[in-house]
Amino acid sequence: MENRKTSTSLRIGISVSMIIMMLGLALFLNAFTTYEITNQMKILSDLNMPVGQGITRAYVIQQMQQNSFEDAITYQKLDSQKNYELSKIQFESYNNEWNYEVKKIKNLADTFPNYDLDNDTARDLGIMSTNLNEIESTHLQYTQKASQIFDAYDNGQTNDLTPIVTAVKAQQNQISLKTILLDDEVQKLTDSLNAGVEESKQKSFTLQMIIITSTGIMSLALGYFLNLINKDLVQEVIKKTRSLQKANRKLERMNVLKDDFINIASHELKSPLHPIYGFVELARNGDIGSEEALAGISKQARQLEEVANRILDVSRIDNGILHLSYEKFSLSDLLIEITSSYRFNLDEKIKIETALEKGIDIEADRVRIGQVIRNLLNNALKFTEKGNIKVIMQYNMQKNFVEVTISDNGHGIHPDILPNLFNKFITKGPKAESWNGNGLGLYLSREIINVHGGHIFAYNNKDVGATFKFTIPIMKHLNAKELHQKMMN
Amino acid sequence: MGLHILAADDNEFAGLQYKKVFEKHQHEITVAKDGEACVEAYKKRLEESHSDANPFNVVLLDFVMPKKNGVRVAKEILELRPHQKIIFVSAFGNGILDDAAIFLKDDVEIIQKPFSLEFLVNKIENSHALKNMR
Repeated sequence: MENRKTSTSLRIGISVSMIIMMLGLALFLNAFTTYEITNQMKILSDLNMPVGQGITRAYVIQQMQQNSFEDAITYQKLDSQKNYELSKIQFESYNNEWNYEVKKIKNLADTFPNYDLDNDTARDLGIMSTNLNEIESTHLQYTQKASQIFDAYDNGQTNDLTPIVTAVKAQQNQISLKTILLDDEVQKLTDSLNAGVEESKQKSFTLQMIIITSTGIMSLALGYFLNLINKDLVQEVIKKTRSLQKANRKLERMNVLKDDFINIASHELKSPLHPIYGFVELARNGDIGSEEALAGISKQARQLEEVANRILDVSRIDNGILHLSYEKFSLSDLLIEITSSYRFNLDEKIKIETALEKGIDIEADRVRIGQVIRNLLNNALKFTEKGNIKVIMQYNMQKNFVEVTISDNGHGIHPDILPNLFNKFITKGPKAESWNGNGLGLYLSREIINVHGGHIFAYNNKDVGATFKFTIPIMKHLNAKELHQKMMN
Repeated sequence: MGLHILAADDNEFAGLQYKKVFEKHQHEITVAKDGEACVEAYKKRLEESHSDANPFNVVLLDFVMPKKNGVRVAKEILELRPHQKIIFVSAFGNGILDDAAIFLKDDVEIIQKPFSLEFLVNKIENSHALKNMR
């Protein structure tokens, strides 16, 4: 119970911290994703688009420069000096424009590293820069070759220029092609950046969904653990309440027993005192002889002593200081002695029969065992009006015990009392109709037999009356085998 | 004129002493040694008397007796004769018998052990004289 509670509260603690951690993670992820997307969007709007536009413009300018070169060649062949010059000037001007545009693109590209770029984008950008440089150097060569051609024209060199013109044209095509390819690359970069934004969005959405779901599960677990603790607590309270109620009932019962004991003790002590006073009074007034009074007084005094001893015995047992004085004696002789003294005082309606097996001496407390036998006989007599009380004694050498059975044909034991027969003060209480006895005799008997290492029990006979039985070891501290060996010797 | 008393006590000496002291004072006394014998003695005299008067002037009852205890004996007697004077003799501590409904009746009294025999005789004689005066 204790462990389970600890582990449950531990689980609750873990659940709560997990929930907090998840929420923190969700916030962080959200911020990170926003930053990433913003960055990508910025690259797109600040760089990619201007670069793309610049490249397109450079391509257009290059096309127009190409046209003016071809125009200049054509006009030169037609000897249209004026148009040739115009085309040449146009060529130069487009050249400047192209250089300016490319420079602008390069400047923009230089600012790329200022942005927080992922590896793929940076690599793509590197390739783009290299390509741009190549285009630039090709363009430079192209311009120089074109200038050579123009210079040749201007100087009136009329030798065959066809090869060089062809080379210039080839370079023109190369530049166009490369520019288109570059444009494609920029387009690709733009696409990949756009895809990155989408991917980031998607990733963030998925992660957030996972976090929300996990948090939900954690919350459910938290609820479950709280419920568990609550149940435990409820169970605990119910258990505690029950045990308190039980303890309370026990106390109430003990209180009743205590009251009963005081009343019983009061009754048992006062009852013999009363006739003592009576004898004194009668003797003093000369109503009876002093001999008679003294005999009566001494008998009552003995009864008082017996009661006092019984109460003392009970407190000795309760304090665990009932000591036995072991001696060797014949149990059958003791039984004969006791039953004979009872027969002497009995009226004719009740007979005591004995069936005693002859055997060896036993080792026990003679006085205490006698007390038990008297208690059982008194008990049998109390509930028997007429008939037989049987006393049987049997030895069991193999098992080292002797068994004494006392059975009567009286009223039998009330079923309500039977289970607790040998407990303290078990008798029908003083308020009951047929209350009798002080409720200590059987309790003492059981304790005496138990201290001897024996057993005592009682049952109602099938036909009529009740039977009490006790067994005690024949020899103290001897097991059956040792006893057997002793017997053999 | 002597009174007729029925006394029940399982202590043989107590019964003997009642007999001695009441006979000394010229009263008639019947002693029973247990509750059952007491009820039987009461019924027997009731049948023999053939009169409306109670068969005994006073019934003295011990609480704790074999076979039938004092309270049960008192109930049975009061069923036969509702106005029978009964005196309980108790050796119990105070309080335990307070709740027995039987003590609500005027004709039922309780005295605590021990007491002197002369005190008992005087008490019975006085209460009887008082009753006759009324």
